[in-house]
Amino acid sequence: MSKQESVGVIGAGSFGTVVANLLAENKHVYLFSRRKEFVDDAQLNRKINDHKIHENITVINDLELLTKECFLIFPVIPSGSFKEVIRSMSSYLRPDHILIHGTKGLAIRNKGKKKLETKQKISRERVLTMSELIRKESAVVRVGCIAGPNLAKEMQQQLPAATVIASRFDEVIHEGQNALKSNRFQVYGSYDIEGVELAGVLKNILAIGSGICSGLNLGENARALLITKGLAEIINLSKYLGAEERSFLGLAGIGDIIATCSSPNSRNYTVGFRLAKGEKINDILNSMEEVAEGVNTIKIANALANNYKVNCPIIKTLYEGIYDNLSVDAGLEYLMNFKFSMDVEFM
Amino acid sequence: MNNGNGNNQPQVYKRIIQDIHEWPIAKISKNREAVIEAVVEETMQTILQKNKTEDDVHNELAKAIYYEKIRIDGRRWKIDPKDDKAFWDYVKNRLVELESHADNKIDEEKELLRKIITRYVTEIVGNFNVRTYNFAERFVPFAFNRLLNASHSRAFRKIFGNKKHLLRSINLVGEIEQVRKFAKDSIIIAVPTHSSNIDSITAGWGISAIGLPAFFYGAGLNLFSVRFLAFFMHRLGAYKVDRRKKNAIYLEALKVYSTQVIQQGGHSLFFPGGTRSRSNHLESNLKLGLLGTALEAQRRLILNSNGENFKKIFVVPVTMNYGFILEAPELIDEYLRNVGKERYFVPADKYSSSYKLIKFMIRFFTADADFNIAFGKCMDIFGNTVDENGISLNANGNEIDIRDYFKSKGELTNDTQRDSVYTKMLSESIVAAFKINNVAMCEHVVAFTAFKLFQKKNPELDIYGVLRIPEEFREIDKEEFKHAATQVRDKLLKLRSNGKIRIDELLEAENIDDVIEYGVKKLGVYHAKRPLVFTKQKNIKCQNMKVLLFYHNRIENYGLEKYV
Repeated sequence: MSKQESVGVIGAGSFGTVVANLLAENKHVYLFSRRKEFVDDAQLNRKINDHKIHENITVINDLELLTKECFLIFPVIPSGSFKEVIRSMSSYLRPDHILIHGTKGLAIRNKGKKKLETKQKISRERVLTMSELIRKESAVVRVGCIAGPNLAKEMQQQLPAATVIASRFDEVIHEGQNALKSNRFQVYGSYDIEGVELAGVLKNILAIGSGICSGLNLGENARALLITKGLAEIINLSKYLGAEERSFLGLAGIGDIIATCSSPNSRNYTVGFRLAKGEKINDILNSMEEVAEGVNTIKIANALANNYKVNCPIIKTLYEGIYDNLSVDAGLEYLMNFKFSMDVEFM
Repeated sequence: MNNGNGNNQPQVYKRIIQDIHEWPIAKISKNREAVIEAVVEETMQTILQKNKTEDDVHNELAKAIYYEKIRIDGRRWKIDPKDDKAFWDYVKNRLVELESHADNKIDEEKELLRKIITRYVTEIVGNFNVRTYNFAERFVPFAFNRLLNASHSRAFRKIFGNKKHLLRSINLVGEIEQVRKFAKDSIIIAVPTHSSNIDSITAGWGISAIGLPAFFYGAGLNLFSVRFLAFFMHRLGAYKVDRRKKNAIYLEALKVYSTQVIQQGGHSLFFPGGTRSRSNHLESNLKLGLLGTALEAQRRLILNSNGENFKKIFVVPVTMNYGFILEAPELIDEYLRNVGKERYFVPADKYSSSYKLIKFMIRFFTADADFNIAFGKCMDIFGNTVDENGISLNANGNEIDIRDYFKSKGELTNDTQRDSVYTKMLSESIVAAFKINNVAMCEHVVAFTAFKLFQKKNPELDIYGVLRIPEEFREIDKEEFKHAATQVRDKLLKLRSNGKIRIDELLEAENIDDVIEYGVKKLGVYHAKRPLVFTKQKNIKCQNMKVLLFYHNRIENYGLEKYV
């Protein structure tokens, strides 16, 4: 098999598998999972978690092989293990590799510092997006990300959708588009990788909030209020983080918000919904098969807002609800009595 | 001279290549006509590639005429050729004439294009000449030798009263051995910070002083008006850059020349800030045009060697810090006038009278003013660190084969968009390197402390308000000043231990009073009104707030304000 024809996907979770299936319509795909027994099973039965995998997919457990065979690689792994995985393949990665990640989370440069507390502040320099993490931990420079309304369950059902690939490099955008596009999947491009990454990451906060709205039966007016004002908060915050506002109005921002904030298929939405029903956050997280990135994102966003003195009452309330045991009722009362001034201030 | 290694013995660096004829710049410049021809030819090709149709070529010429007309209608510089207007009138008339020609129009237009390019290239290309370099060394009073050997002839000078004797004034510090090593077989691109018009001389001087052969470098055309300065700059390898010429043809010619000399192994120097830092802040936003030529040269070197045994290009960030900058008052004025505004400046032809400048330079080089030149660690053309053998490393210490940067799917490719992102990345690495190689001096510490104290005492005032504080309120109690300066100095020492900045060793004086005394006396020593003076009670008084702001800016953005 020639190098040009193979692309790699790292992470065989639900979204990773969806991405692999999409790619397999155009290319041969190496799909990496770190669980050896899982790989053997998937190869044998051609299924991952009851979902069929395309015949062009080879499931493997060998990162060195993947980096040798593929110039174009899609890491789709939780932010918590992102660094470890990139580090483990760092010695195989070269500047001519293209990495387009699909992870909607942030990492922190820890350097032995204390964990984030309620009032703690954190500056942009200490926060890494996944593309920054790739740059930091490897020789790869041609990085990109995919973000957009891409609920895995719908994509498994082959329903139509679209995504955006963001990168500073034309080559990354073009290669990503060529590999991913199909009759039922549109792929747009953007140069604002920070904006697209942050939009994809921060929207999870709103998805949790939206889940709470549903869990409490607060109605659609309340959800609209939460989403609109929450969007203003994340745009305001992102201005301090180096993002372009307009990326929040595209697929990775509004597009993804509409999908995740109204769908019980979203993990983050589910976390919010179950919180509203009175479950404890740890019980919820322990019972979930895959990571809800929004829970960690709320913590980082809150610390960033503290640092840059950005007024983010929704993020703050969600943070206190999850990490400081603020009751749902108290949180709601706080928000409804918060003194907002003008409507649209962020543009 | 202090070699930066903690001892105060002057370090004399031998030339890494003894015979000037063997210097890359000498070999490349040997046949000026051939150099001009090659640059003209490639510039022609590039412009024609970018302008494929007859209309495109016509429009490109029309644009050049338009921009040149604006330049010529503006303030004339002494250096501008006498036939400037006549030439461009001819070009304009010829282009109009050609519009009515049906036959051979494109050929005629190409010919016109070639004439323009030839004119530009002839102006740009440097004039390094081994004979005159030697002549300068032997005969010219107050010239190279005098400058190069300044440290030999100068006696130890008293600095801290009777307490310490230090050999002072010109400090060359940093990764000097590394750059000397790489300059032998590889190509060096030195990228200094830019504060003063004399940087063209001091940077060139610094390069000679550490034993490197002369570098190619672009110097502002206006500087060549001063015959005295022009003389030195030619010796030092300068070529001419005219910032007023903003048309695509000129810029392309400049880039082609730079790319060709680097590709042929010529060490080069760019001021990546493009112009002097008006505020005296370290440059944070770099011009990418000339940096991009270094990247293109590296790509060609790899391509032409079939990827084997290619010459590697190393970028050396250089920070230049002065206790006194001649143009400080005018620079800070321009900065304050234009802060927050995008305005086009026609740089004034300031130094057409040599007298003031020569006088200043004699003082500067022979006596009183301090300056530091710090050489940062070499990086590759992508901003990666390199090991002692010049091998590029990623953040985890894994080796990087830089050929891979120019490959797509295993093949070397030409992708200008990709390369422009690389150039941006390099500029980000240079900006970061400037910050950690900046040399904080006593002068900066007193300026910073004083200005921040004025701000602290007047929290209700914005920066313009602080600048207008009346004279009678511009005095700071000596104890208060001492306390704040101690805090700032201590924090700087801490930052230095963490590799976040460099400091001039005078800042390490045991007694902070020495630092204050020295800083205040030396800060802006030749300005008509020195920014800071001692009162009879030994309090600190500011005589010029704007110039104080200027010197203070050099160590802003290190989080020091918390300590005042």
